[in-house]
Amino acid sequence: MIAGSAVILSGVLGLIGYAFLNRDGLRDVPDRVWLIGGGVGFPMVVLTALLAWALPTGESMTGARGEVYEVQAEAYQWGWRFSYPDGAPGETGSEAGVLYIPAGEPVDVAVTAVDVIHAFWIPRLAGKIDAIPGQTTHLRIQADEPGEYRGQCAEFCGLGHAGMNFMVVAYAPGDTGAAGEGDER
Amino acid sequence: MSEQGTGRMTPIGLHRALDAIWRAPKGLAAFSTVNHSVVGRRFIVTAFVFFAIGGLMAMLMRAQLARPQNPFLGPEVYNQLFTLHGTVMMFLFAIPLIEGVALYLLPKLLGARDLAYPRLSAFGYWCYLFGGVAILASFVFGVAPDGGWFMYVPLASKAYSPGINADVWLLGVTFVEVSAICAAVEFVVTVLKVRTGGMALHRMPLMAWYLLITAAMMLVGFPPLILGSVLLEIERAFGWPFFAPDAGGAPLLWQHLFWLFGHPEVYIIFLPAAGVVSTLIPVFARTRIVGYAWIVAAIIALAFLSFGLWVHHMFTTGIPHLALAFFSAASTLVAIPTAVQIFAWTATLLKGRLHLSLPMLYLLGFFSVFIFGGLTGVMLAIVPFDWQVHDTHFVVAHLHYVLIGGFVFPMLAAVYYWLPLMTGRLPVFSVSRTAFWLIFIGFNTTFLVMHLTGLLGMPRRVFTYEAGLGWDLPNLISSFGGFVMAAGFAVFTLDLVLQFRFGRRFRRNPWKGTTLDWAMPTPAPSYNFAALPRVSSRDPLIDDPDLGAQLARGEGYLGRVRDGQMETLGVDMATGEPDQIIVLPQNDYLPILTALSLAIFFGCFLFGFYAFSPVGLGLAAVCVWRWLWSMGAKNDGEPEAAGLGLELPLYHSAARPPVWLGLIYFLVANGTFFASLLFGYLFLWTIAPNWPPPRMIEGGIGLAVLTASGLILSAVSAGRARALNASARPGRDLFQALAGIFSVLGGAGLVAILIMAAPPPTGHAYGAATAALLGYGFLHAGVGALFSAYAVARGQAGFISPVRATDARAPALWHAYTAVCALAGLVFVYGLPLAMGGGA
Amino acid sequence: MSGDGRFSGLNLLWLVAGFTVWSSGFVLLYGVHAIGCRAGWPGMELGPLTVQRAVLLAIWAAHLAAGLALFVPLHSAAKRWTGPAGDFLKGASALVTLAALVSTLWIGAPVLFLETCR
Repeated sequence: MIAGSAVILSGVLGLIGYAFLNRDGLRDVPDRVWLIGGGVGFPMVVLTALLAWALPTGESMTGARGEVYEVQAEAYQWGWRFSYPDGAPGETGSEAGVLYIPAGEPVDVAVTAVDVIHAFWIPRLAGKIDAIPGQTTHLRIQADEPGEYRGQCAEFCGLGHAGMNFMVVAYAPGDTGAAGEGDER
Repeated sequence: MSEQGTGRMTPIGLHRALDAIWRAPKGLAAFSTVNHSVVGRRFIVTAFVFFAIGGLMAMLMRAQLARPQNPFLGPEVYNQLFTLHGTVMMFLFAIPLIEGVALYLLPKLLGARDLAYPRLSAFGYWCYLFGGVAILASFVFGVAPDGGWFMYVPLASKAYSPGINADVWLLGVTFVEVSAICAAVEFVVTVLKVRTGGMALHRMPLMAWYLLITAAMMLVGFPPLILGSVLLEIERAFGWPFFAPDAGGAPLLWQHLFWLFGHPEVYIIFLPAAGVVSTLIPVFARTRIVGYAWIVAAIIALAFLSFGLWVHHMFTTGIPHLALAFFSAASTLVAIPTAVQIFAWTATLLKGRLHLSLPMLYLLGFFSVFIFGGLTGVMLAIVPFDWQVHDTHFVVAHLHYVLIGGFVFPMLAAVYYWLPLMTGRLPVFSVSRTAFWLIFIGFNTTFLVMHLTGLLGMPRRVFTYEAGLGWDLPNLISSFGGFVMAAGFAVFTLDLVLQFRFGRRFRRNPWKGTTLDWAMPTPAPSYNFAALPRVSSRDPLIDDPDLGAQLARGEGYLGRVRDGQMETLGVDMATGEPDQIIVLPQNDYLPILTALSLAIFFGCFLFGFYAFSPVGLGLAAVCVWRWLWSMGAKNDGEPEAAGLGLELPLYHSAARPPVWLGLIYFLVANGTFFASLLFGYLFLWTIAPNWPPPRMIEGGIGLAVLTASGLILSAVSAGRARALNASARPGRDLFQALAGIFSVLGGAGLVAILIMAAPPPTGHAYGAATAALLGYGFLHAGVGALFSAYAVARGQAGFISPVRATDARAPALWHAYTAVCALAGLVFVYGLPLAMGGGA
Repeated sequence: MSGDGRFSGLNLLWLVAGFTVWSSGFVLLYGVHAIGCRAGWPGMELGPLTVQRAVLLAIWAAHLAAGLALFVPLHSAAKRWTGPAGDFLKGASALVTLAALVSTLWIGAPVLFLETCR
C-alpha cells in the first residue's frame, strides 16, 4: 500500500513538474483524457482492487463469537482488570494489569469500561477496540509466540491516560504453571 | 443629495461621492461598521491571531514530547493544550478564516458592492470574537477545556469533568457556531442572488461555486454539532441523561453527532482552499481552467459524499463490519471527485505557459503535501489498516498533511495573491521565498517522520512516554521540525509587515487576473465598483482588459449616487439577469448589541446563573425586532433606473427579496437540527443500554390531538393572512393575530403534555429526549407567536402590501414549519411506544 | 437580452437530486442494518437469503432504480433549459446524476458478499 502510494504521488508530481518545463509534449492531449482517465478511471481501478482485498480481510479478522477461548477485560480510570473462564490460568479480578493468554491460538477479548471510554490495544498483536461503558465490544487477538507483549489504552481518558498500560503474557499451550502464578480457580 | 449620476461625473468625483456613503467610520463608531471589506479583514486578522496562539500551543506540546519522561509539562496542562490546539485551529482559525476570505472576496468576485446581509456578517464577527476570547481566557485562568477537541462523553460529562472546563468548550464553541450559520446563510444567498448583470450560472467564477457549496455544507453540517453541544450542556446543567449509560443514555450518540459534523468539516475547510487553487492556476498558467462543469460536478459530489464518511472515525467502536464496509466504501469514493479536480488542475498546467511566481510556489507545496495526505487518507479508509493505526500519531500526521497541505498552503498562496488588492503593494520576494522553504521543510520534517512514530505504536494524546520503545528519536526530529516551521511562520509575518511598509506600488491587476476582483483600483475602494459591469463570459478581464477603467468612469449598472443610498443589484439565480435593486443597510450598532445580548445569555449559563439567562435572550429578541423593523418601505414605489437602459423594482417590492431566501436557508439548517434530534431519539431507543425505561408517556392523547390541531390552525391562519394580503382583501392582520394566538395555545399544550403525561426528564434518557422533542416544538411555537405579533405591527404600520409581501409570507412559512415539526415530534412521542412495543 | 433562456432557479435542484437519492439510500442501508442486527433478522430465513440480506438488497435495488429513473424527468426538464446557461446546467446535472448512481452502486456492493452482522 505504501509503495503504491509512492508511485502515485511521484507520478502526479512528475506531471506537474513536467508542466513547468513548458514543453509542448502533452499540450495536445484532450481534456477528457485527463478528466475521465486520470480523474475517474484510474482511481476507480485502484480503489476497486483495494476494497476487494480489504473488506473480506476485515471480515476474517472478526470471528463469530463462542468459537474460541474468551477472556474479559474491564477498563477503569486508569487501569485494566482481566478475568478468565473457570479453571483457566490467570488472576481473576486482579488489578495487577497483566493479561494471560495462551499462545498460538486465537483469543477473543470481551471489552467494557466502568467509567469513561477507553480503548484496548496491544500494538504487536492486533488492532484496537474501544471500551465503552454500558456496552461490550469484542476483539480477536492471537500471539503466535509465547512471551510478553505491551498493551495500552488508545482512547484519551483523562489525566492518567498516558500511563494506562498493561502487560500481556502469552504462555505456551499446556504450560499453565508458569503463567498462573496466582490462584488457579 | 439626489440623482448625481444622470449628469456626467468625473471618475474622481464619482469616487468621492460613493466613498462618502460607503466609507467605514473611525473612532468608536467603528463598532457599528458593517462593510464587507472591513468585517472580512477583521475576520482574517483575528483568525491569524488565533492561528499564532494555536501554533504556540503546538510548540509547547512539541517541547514536551521532544524527550521521553520530560518533566516540562504535567498532564493537566498538556491535556488543556491539545484540546485547545485542536479547538482553536478548527473553530477559531480555519472556519473563520474561510468566512473572512469569503466576506472580503465574494462581492468583488461577483461584481457586487456588498453581501446580501452586511449586518449579519458584522453580528457573526462579534459572536466569533466573544466566543473565541472566552475560550482562550479560560486557559489564562487555568480552567480551559481538557477533554479533547472531540469532547467524548462520558469523560466530558459532569461526573468525570465536574469543573467549568467542559462548559467553556460547549458554550464558547456554540457561540462561535452561531457566526458560522449566519455566514453560511449569507454566502448561499449572496452567490445565488447578489451578482452583477449577465453573470449566469456558467459564468460564475469557480471560487463562487466552491463557496456556495461550502456554505450549503455548513448549513447542514453544523447543526448536528450544535445539537450535540446543546444536549450535553443541558445534561451537565440540569442532569438530563442523554449520554449517561446507567440512565439509558448512549455515549456513542455524542460520537455520531460530533462526527456527523466533524467529517464534513474537513471538506468545508478543504473546498474553499481548492477554490483558491482553481482560481490561481489558470491565472499563472495564462490559460483558462480545464473542465469547468466537471469541477462543479465534482464539488457537488464531494459535498454529499463527505456526509457519508463520519463513521470512519468510529471504526473501533464495535459497530458490525458490514456497516463499517458502507463507510469504508464511501470513504474511498471521495478520492474520485478529488482526483477529478487534481487532474483538471494538472491538465490546465500542462496546457498553459507557466511561470513560478510566489503564490504558485505555495501551490506546489499544496500539491505535494496534499496528495500525500490524500493517499494516507485512502489507507485509513481501509478498515483493517485503520484498526491498527487509529488514535496513533499516524493519524496525527495524516490530518496535518491534509489540513496544512490542503488548507494552509493554498491560503498562504491566497494571502500573497490577494494582499496586493488590500494594500496596493507587491510582496518583497527574497523574504517570501525564505518563509516558504522554512515552512515547507519544517512541516515535512515534523510530520513525515510522525507516520513512523504512529506505526511504531505511539498513541495520541499522551503527555509523555517511556524511553526505549523506539519513539525517542522520531519525536525529537518532529519537535525540531516543528520549531523550524514556527520560524517559517515568523518570517512570513515579518514579510507581511515589510509588504505593508515597503512593498512596490502598482496600478492595476499585477497578476493579470481574469476575474472581476481585479477590475477595481487598488487598494480596493470601500464600494468596490463605481459601476457594476455587464459580463458576458467567465473571464471578463480577458474579454476587456480595460474594464476597470470603464467601471471607474461609471459606465455600467448603478454608476451613480441616488439619495445617499447604498445600492447593488439582485439577479435571477440561473440566468443572472438583474431583477431588483437591493438597498443595503447603513452602519448600525444593532449587530454588536445583539451579540452582546447573546453573550449575556451564554455567560449566565457558563457561571450557572440559569435563572438570569432568559434576560439575554429577551434582549436579543428586542434587538432582532428592531433590526427587522428597519427594512422595507411604506409605499410600493416605482421601478428605478438601474443603468444600461434598465428599470428595476426595489428589493422590498421584488418577488424574491434576499431576506425571504435567507429565511428558507435558515429553515434548512434548522430542519437539519430537528432531523438530528429525531435521529438521536431513534438511536437512543434502538442502541442505548438500559432500555426500556421504567416509565413511558401515559395518557394525554386527547391533549396531544388538541395541541396538534392548535398548531395546524396557526399555520392555516397565517397562510390565510398571506393569501388575503396577496389578493388585497381585508382581514390580513386579524388572521395573523389568530395565528399568533393559536401558536401560544399550541405551545402551552406541548408544555402541558410534558408536565402531565411524560416522565420527568432527569430520571432516564427517554424522559430527557422526549422533553427535548416537545421543548423544540414549544420554542418554535413561541417564536412563531412573536413572528405573528411582528407581522401585525408591520401591517398596522403600513409596511405590508400585495407587492411588499415578505412580512406576510414569512410568518406563514414559519408556522407551517413549526406545525410539521411539532406533529413529527408528537408522532414520535406517542407512536414509538406502540410501534416498538416498549423498546428493542 | 443576452439570448439566455429564462428558467426558474428551482431548476438548480437538479444539481442535487441524484445525490439526494444516494443520501437516502446510504442512511437507510446504515439505519436498517443496525435495526436488523438488533432484531435478529440474520437468523430468519427467506428463501435462499436471510431476511436481513433480503431487506438490504431491496433497499439497494430500490435506490438504484430510483437513481436510474431520475434520468427520465431530468431529460424532460432539460428541454426547457436553453441558452448557454441551460447547456451548462444540462451537462453538470447529467454528470452529477450519473456520479450519484455509480456511488449508490459502489456503497451498496458490500451487501452482496459480506456477512451481515459480524
